Amino acid sequence: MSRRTRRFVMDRRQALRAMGLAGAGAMGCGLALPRLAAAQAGRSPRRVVFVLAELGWVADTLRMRPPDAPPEFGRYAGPWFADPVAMGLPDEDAYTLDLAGMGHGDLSPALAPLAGHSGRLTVLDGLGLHSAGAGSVVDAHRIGHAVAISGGAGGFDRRNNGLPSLDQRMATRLRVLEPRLTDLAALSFTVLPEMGRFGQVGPNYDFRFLDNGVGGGVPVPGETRVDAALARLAPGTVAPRYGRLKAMRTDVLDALSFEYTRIAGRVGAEDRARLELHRDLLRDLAARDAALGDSVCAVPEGVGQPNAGDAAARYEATSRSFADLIAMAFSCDIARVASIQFADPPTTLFGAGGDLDSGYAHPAGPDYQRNGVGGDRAAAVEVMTRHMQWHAQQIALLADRLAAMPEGDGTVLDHTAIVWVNEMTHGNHEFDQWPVVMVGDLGGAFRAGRYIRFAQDTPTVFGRDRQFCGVPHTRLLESLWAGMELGPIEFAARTVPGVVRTGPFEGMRRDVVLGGTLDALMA
Amino acid sequence: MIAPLTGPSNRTRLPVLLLATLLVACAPEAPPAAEPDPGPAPGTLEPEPADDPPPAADDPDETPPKPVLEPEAEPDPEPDEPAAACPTPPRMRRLNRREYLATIADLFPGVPLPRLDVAPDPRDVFDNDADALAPSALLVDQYAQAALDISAGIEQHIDLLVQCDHADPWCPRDFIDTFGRRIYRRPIDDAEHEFLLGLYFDWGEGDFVLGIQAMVQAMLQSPTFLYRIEDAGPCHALTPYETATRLSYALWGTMPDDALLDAARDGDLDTGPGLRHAVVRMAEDPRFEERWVDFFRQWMDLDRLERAAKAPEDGFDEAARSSYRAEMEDFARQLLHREGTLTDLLTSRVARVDARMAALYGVDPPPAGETAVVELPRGREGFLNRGAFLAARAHPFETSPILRGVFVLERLLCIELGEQPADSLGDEAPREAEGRPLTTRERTEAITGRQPCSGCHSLINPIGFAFEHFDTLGRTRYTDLGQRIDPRGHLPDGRPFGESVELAELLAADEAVAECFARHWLRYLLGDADAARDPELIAAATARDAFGRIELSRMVWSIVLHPRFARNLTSEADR
Repeated sequence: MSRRTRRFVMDRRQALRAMGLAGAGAMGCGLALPRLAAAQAGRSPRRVVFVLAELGWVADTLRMRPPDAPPEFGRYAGPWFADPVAMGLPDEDAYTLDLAGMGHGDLSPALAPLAGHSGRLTVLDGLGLHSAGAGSVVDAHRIGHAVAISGGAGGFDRRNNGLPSLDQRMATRLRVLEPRLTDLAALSFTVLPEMGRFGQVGPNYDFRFLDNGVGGGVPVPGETRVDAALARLAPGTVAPRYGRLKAMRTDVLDALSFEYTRIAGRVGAEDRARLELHRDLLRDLAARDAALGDSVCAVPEGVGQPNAGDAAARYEATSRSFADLIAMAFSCDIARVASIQFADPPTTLFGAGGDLDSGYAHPAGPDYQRNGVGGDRAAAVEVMTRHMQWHAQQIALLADRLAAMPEGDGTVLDHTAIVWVNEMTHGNHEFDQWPVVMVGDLGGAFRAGRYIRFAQDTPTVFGRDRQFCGVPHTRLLESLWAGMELGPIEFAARTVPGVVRTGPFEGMRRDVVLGGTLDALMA
Repeated sequence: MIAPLTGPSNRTRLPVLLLATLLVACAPEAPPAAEPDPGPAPGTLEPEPADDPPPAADDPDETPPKPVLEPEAEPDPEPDEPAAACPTPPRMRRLNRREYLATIADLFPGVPLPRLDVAPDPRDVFDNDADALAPSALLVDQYAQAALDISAGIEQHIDLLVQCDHADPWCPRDFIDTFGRRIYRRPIDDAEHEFLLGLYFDWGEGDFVLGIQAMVQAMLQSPTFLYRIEDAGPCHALTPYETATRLSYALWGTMPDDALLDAARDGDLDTGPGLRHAVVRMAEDPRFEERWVDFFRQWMDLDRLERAAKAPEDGFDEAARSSYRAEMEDFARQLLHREGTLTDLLTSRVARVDARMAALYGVDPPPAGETAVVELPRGREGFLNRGAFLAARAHPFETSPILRGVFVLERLLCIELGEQPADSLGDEAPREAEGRPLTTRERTEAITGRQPCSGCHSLINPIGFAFEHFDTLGRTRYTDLGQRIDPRGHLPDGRPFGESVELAELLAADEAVAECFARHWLRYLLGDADAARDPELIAAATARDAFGRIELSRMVWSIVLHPRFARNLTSEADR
């Protein structure tokens, strides 16, 4: 379905000046503002979108079989994945499949909705969330959230995480490299039901953390409202309502930073750091007001706060509106990094009822037959497959939007990587065998269109049934950082102690190096 | 039916009377002003009469409850002198979401306010821990948007905010002084005055309203408004205005009103009687009752009910969750209005039930759509044996001795369990052995009985097993998968109990429980987990009365009236 756009050209001259544009031409796809930095650099900017899902994957309907696997096991892994070793099947070796050209029926059920982008599709199978090994909290969900895109230890407590998350680090670095960018360089959205199982998914189960100035991270709550996000990204849509008050706001924000500095001098060190952080965020806000002014960014038709339909319909409509806003922000080069956390989606989205975690995610785990529903694992797998497919559909929709926006000699999607992660591997709360699904090659930084199964030769940190797993997921994070061309990056811990849990090497310790990129991924 | 609780309620009056009694006892110079205590009535939350029944409070021959106040403290002549043990170190606390919204509502009475989006706060037991309340880009943005929306909204209602003549050149200064004192919770200092007036003249030349709007936008984003800042010093005595603010957010969850600010201005909060007067007035305010209930809501983690999933056939829908929650919130209210004690919290069988809860407990249901106060059957003593606690800590298809045991250890005994071993995550328990299905108890023992789990679970499990005769909804059961329930267990110090009622009775008599409960109250009132360990405050809060009771409302007064809380005075300064 084609989507029309409408323009909100409130003060084009002011906006162009603020964006540093002298005489920008109109963009394709009805979007108003070209990307100056890209034009100046002679190529398009690179961008990353993190899709942050919860409750794990189901390997049965996600994983693709090895190329030499017996054909009776089908095109995707199938139920044997639950215990391949017991079935006498190999599970230790690396292998790669070419996904380019695969259609809906060729891909595993979970990946099928992404068939339209199979040439840009990358699946990383079998990474390990090794940095979670230094975690210090009880809740495996919370550890996974804290670690997935930060690469820090799962040491989240009330005060901070082990590290700021990669999206926030990217935005900080991008703003150093390109001071024109504002605090909207990284967008953080959370799609939240009216009442989630975790209740406080936003604050207590957050993937995103801002640098706290002392090596850790404080949680970054995601914007949950479409209308508020729209007002932030396209202030021109609301400015007329406030007239001079809007200009006053920028003036006030500027003035307030002195107040924060003054008060910060009167409190203890820890509180001072907070006030200084608050002051810096105010300055960011003032800088953004000045930079964006009355935005000329075109707002896609239909973006708005969903009010109609049931909880599932509103959840999905919010997801689609956020996808539109990400596309809009990329097209206007307001943002370079974005994330959408899909927090506790209503089970009715997947044709089921009850509680997704205990009712389906746990029973769908390979050997998690708890809670009296273990006898019907197949039913749970079916629901969790639809859960994965729904996320894949949201990603496909976003990819479609980005692919429809011409940029340079290609499209915005050509310079983007959409990275779909989860806070854990599956309903067993495991942190090894961690899959990642990506769409886009990040401007040629990655070799896309492949399914990459990593060799299982790195000692595990979690997991009891396997001696080894794949390489640490921090290497993916570093690959993304490298793909964005942001210079060197380090994680708080360079190594974690890996331990072989079972078998002839039980008890053997071998440090696992967290740093480095994924050679198999990089172009 | 329990007659005394169904008759005319003396709600609100009783805790105030108790407080008045307490305060009179604590203030020798004050005349006896307490009304006669109606005394415990059968079926109330009072404990069963002992051999020597408690005397009435108006009995002149009997000793009234032991005073909980320290000797009155005079203002510290050297308030900035560092002391060895700072009771509640001054620090900065961001208003949490609820405090922020309540304060905004109080600041602009009569002004129609727009819907304000403010991100929820992280919660670790309570939602007001200073450590957790960091700023974020979203919050700062939302504060700015709220300031913009509110400043736009006051345009048509400026006379509600500004009482002086707009044409009077002193009017902006008057506004800064009057509104500034309310929003900053203290008088505006010279630097702030200058800052705000500068904004006024930048924007208000020729447009008085616009100048006011500029100042309101600034004040609503000022650190002095968004953060409760207790100034300076490693161990600094609070100023009267800081005292007013600490009391107000502790007891009302919002800003001090004009009367409290006036009391601060007049030095009334520096004196014992003045402080008591202020606290008595605050206790009479409905906002205190809401705050009281909120403490129990968060301490019991009643929000777990909202995300507790049950089997579809159990019909645990929104209406059911609401019934479970309502019963427990009413239980908390009764603890306030009926002078409930720690023993009542753990052993009372009085409950207000609707038809659903009546069915759960096996008592006569009230008429449709109504509730009734009833005495529950034996076995339902205290909050631990009620539906809300039990259903919130159970899985959809099986109970959770672990969740139930952890609550008792952490929130009633303040035993810190530490970290769950990383390599224990995801362990699976066997479902059967020797040809028969294993009970939840057996499975729990099997999965946690080995190292490294057994260290903590040797404490957790024996307590959690006590509740095994309640199913996932909190219904009484006698078997688990056809096996007879074994609810026996023991406390961490080895004291055995036969089932959950015996456990509750042991806990009710345990000094460690009293201390733990007081620590949670102190943490809630102060908004600071790290500072909630002051031994003098805890000792004052857990002092038993002449009859060996710890009245819960008295525990709160003991804390907030104590110079170490109200003024941050050290013992040395007290002397």
